[in-house]
Amino acid sequence: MTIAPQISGIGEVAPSRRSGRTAEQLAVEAIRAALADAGVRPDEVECIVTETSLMPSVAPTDRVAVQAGLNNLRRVYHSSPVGAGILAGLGMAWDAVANGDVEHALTYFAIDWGGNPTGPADYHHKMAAKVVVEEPAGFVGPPLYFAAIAERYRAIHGLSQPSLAEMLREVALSARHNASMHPTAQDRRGLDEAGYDASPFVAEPLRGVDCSLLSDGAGAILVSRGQAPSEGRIVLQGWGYAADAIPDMDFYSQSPWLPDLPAARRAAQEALKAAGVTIDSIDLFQLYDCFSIAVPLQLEAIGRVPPGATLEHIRGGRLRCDGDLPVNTHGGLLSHGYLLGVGHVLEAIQQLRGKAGARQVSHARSAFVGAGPGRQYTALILERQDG
Amino acid sequence: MAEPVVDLESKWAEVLSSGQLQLPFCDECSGVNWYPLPRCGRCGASAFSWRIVPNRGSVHSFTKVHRSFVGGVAAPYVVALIEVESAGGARLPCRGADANETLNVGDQVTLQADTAGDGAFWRFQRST
Repeated sequence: MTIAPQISGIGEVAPSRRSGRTAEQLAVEAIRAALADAGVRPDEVECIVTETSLMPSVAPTDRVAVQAGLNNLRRVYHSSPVGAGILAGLGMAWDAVANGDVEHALTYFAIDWGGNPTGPADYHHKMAAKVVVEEPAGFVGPPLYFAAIAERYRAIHGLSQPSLAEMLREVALSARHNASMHPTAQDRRGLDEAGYDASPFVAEPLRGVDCSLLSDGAGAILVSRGQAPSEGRIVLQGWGYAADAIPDMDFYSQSPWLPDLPAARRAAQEALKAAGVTIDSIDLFQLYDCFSIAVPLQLEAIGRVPPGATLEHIRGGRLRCDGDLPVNTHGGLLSHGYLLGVGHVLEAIQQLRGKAGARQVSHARSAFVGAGPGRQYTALILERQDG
Repeated sequence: MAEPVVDLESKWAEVLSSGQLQLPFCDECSGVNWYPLPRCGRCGASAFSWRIVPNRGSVHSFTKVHRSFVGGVAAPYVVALIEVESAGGARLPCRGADANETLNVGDQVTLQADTAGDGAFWRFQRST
């Protein structure tokens, strides 16, 4: 008899600036926690899936498997790079169970860019045209890429500079508010409007508090066929992945579409169609917020708010966990920690389990998780099912 | 005459030292091949020619940078993505001359090679 899959366990190594451990150690720790949470033995896990760009060098499946006791693997998959790949890892693990290949499939991601803070810059630096054409001109590093996107957004949608600043401030303050209610968020310090305005510019219009933290940390998620836990089954009701026809290296300078994100639109449409729901029915959103501007770009691309209209939809704290458009209820990359999306997935599951404590979104039954706001994107629709 | 894009670094240094902007275009479909790939993303052909394009363009986007992210570029400075005129939408990241200049998306600019320092690049100047 086939029993539909469910999310059976999650494990997290909470983000910190310096853990004193390697990504590999963090990955193993998160996996062991996920298995303990599910009550599944390591030798029952037959499939692992992980992100394809960073994990092979810092937390490779062979070494991680041995240390976590995963001695009966029959499927090992790599998804796609970074954020979108981390989310797609869950989608692929889900599919491996749903199609009957395996009983238990696990996905993990770990990062040590807190202890090794040149990580994200190094990742982009390795691309030839960036070294030859972009860096000599001073166009280098993700903060500049997203600053330029923000300015383009302002021009395309006819916002004033104060309106753009207000929109970004809303995102940053809501993230910090949500993180302040999370017991293990990396930055829980209070932040008000004056504090935001006092944060120095990194690249206008982005200030320090508009930029992701740098973190060590990890997460793992186990998908299992089997019995439902008493508090409700968490299921991946639908997921989608899309990529635009442009090399990663070219995206931030040459994309014909920015500030639109066509891949995010297509991935969201695919996920919603598979789940059989509309975007307006989703209770909470976890969106890859490497920079504050990334949240409006995604809310608009996935169809939650009309293009250019984010400010009026988020003004007044509506993105907070107690607002009517809850986004990044754990504080996101901006304030919870830079776990490149795996923290977003874990938070969605905690919310649907009803275990989010002070930041619990009341009656949360569905969550949208999206990552990779660039040439590629993965969208997940998670739901809680009772009875 | 068609030439393969084998070494962007040396070709780009040559273009910058000439002071006249050139970009690679597909011999088959005439689309710009920027950043260069071994095959054309539009038609799949693999022969390209570097052609002279105007040292002019318009501001696609920009940012004023307050922190130094690479050695040699002292903040503050303005960097803009310039959409090159008659170049099929190709953009060049270019540095401004004045960090306090007020800039807007759509401004018309001229481009000049700056080869004085360690890394050569294009500077933009507003035309109006």
